[in-house]
Amino acid sequence: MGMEEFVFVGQEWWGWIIAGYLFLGGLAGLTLPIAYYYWVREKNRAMSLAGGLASFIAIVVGILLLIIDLGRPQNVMAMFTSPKLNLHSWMTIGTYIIVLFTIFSGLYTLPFIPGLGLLRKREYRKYITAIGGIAAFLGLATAAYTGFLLAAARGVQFWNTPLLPVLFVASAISSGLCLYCAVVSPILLKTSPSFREAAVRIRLELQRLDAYVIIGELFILFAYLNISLWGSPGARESALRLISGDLAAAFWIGVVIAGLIVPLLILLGYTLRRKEESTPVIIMSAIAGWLTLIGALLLRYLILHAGVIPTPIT
Amino acid sequence: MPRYGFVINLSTCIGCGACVAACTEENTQVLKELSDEASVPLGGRRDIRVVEDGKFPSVLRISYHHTCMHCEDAPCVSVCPTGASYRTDEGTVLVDYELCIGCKYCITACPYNARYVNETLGGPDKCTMCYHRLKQGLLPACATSCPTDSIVFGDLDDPNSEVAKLAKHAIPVGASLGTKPKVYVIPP
Ligand code: SF4
Ligand code: SF4
Repeated sequence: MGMEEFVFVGQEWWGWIIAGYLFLGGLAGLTLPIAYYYWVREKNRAMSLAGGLASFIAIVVGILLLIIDLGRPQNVMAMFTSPKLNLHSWMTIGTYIIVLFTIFSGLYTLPFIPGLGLLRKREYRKYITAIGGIAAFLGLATAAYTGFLLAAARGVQFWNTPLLPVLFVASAISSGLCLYCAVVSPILLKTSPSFREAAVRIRLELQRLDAYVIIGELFILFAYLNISLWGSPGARESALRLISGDLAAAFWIGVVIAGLIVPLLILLGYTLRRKEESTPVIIMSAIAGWLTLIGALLLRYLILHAGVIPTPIT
Repeated sequence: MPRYGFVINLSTCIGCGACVAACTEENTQVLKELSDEASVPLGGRRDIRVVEDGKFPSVLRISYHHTCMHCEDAPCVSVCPTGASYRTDEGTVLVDYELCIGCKYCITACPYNARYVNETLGGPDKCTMCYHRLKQGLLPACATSCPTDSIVFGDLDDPNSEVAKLAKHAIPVGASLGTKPKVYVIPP
């Protein structure tokens, strides 16, 4: 036997909880920069409040999921106090990024809370803009890190590619955009009169971008599967599980069709053509948004679950 | 400092599993010091797995030894956030439970699937080369229990040691994975 042979053992350690964490990290990470964009461009307070809050809640829930998944939570403080802290580990880098992101997204959102009166003073605005810039950057870093975390896990060859962070960021952008269309916008339409005037324009902007991102994500996803098929034995095995194996139904129907193609068709065929916020448009936008969000969660779960460790036997 | 490693002779291994039983018994005692209920499940730290390959009539039956390779470039160590997974001066890879948060990153990072979650401890567990025995000048439990002496342990850097002589003609397990494993096999 000159050639090495492998048996493939399914990765069973990271499941739904970590998938939820990766999903929420990406979602929170991209929701804030979108809010920030509308603050810088047109001082849209309603979006900063809603987006900032959503982002803050999402990242806090994400951190809780991460802690729930720990086998030895009694030692969690070792992430901050260990004398041997490993700054080269993506787990360490990521922990510090999300902690800082949580703080900055909270700080950014605070002044938008009505009644605090912090926005009344014009000179405060430049501080808000600065803090928001840092928060937006940390958000992007959070989304990217969720991919780098997996890419560095050498046991699971399917994850060992820089395309994975790219895929996760694309999916996170789409998730962030959809959170506005599915959740934020319907709430703001009811509660914020100033938002109502801008609602159509903002929705069209977000959905137009989303359509491009979904198309890009489809390309990245197929590139990822393709290089995996031609890559190392474990990557190939995992890709086959998604394409034609035990996970194919969930992957094609759940992720590709329901999570990407159907929302894209709804955007291109209906909501992007309507220049009003009527009930059917709101409902269709919400459907497209929720499908995207569920698809993004499922994508992460399936990428985790498809992971195999190719144990060498010779 | 010695550089400890194993040579496993698959041409004499009869797949009896005495090493697995000895490992479980020995190391359950060690884990008891961390927690009264802790134990090493059979096949947890080391395992003999039989794989059949090919189609009748040319079936290849390989019993391979599934264990930690104590890699010199150990991915489990490089991903561990808190430094809980570490290498000793002898190159033995161990887990410090005082620092381990149980994130399981090391398990997904190990290309040999050598780690498992010890349910009682909530953290990763794997072969330690019986580090506690090495400190007393003893061999790892598996090596002493093998009826056919198919597990040879020792200092790979000592040219007079049996393990170093055998390793010259043996194959490092999964060398293409690039982690510099310190377990070698003599093929069947
Ligand atoms: S075999 Fe796995 S657990 Fe053992 S040292 Fe190598 S990477 Fe670490
Ligand atoms: S489970 Fe423990 S030993 Fe493994 S990477 Fe996490 S902290 Fe380190």
